[in-house]
Amino acid sequence: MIMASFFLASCTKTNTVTQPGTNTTTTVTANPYANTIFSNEGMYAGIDSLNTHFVANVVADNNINSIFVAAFNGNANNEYNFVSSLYNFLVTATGGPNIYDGPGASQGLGVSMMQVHHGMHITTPQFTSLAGDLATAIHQCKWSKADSTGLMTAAASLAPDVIGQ
Amino acid sequence: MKKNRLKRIFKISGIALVALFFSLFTWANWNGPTPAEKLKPKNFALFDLSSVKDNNTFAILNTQLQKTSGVLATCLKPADKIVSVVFYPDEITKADIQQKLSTWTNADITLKAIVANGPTCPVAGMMGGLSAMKRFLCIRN
Repeated sequence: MIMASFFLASCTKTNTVTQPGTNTTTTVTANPYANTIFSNEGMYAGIDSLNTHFVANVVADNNINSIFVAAFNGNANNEYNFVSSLYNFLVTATGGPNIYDGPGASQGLGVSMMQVHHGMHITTPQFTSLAGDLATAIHQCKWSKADSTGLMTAAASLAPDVIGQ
Repeated sequence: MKKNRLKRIFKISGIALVALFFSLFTWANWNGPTPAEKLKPKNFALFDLSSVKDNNTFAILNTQLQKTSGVLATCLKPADKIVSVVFYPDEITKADIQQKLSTWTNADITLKAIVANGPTCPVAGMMGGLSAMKRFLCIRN
């Protein structure tokens, strides 16, 4: 029990704040992702739900599913890698922990997106189609308008790094 | 003399294999599982519904699929006659889903083949079996 308490205590960052001019002391639990889309939409579980719908939409999207043919070869591990990569990307893109570990990840999401898509010649209709699949998934997960706009804006900002590379 | 040499080769190979295993084991457990690795693995499949003649079947099909245990999300495109399914592979298999779809539609449902018509995204393939090995060896889940 004591060990478990130590373990739990070490997992939660807390700050003790004393109000100026009073004797009131408040303990605040620090959430490094407070006010991010990641936090607002249910953190890991929320992003997992979004990703599941997003994957279903992308797989059934005839405009772009041929791009992801490596994930369609019947290899369960490739399917897992595809789902995990999109999940890591969405966690990072929504302001959560930077867990995207794809190529060039250490140089930031923008640079890595450019590296990953180099030579793929992604067209604007293909990018728009993928964004549409994400928008549909957001709608299916009933996200708030502000968070929906926030993620779609973040996704749109990657367009120059993805299109025409 | 020959026997001793063989024994020595076996011994060195054995030590090398044990060292390799411990190196991989340490690597797999060094950082612990990532948030993605903590999730239950999901797979997906795309089914060809072109053998379904009755368009009214599609609405029923989507409802039935979403009620199926192990199925997490679906995307049905009646115009393209395809349906995608994301599922937990330890609860339901592609073959199970295919059989259910065939029963519900009374048609022969097959997996839709996807053919590349240009450069493709390498991410799913480039991580290869490394991620599977890491998940297998990681005991910090």
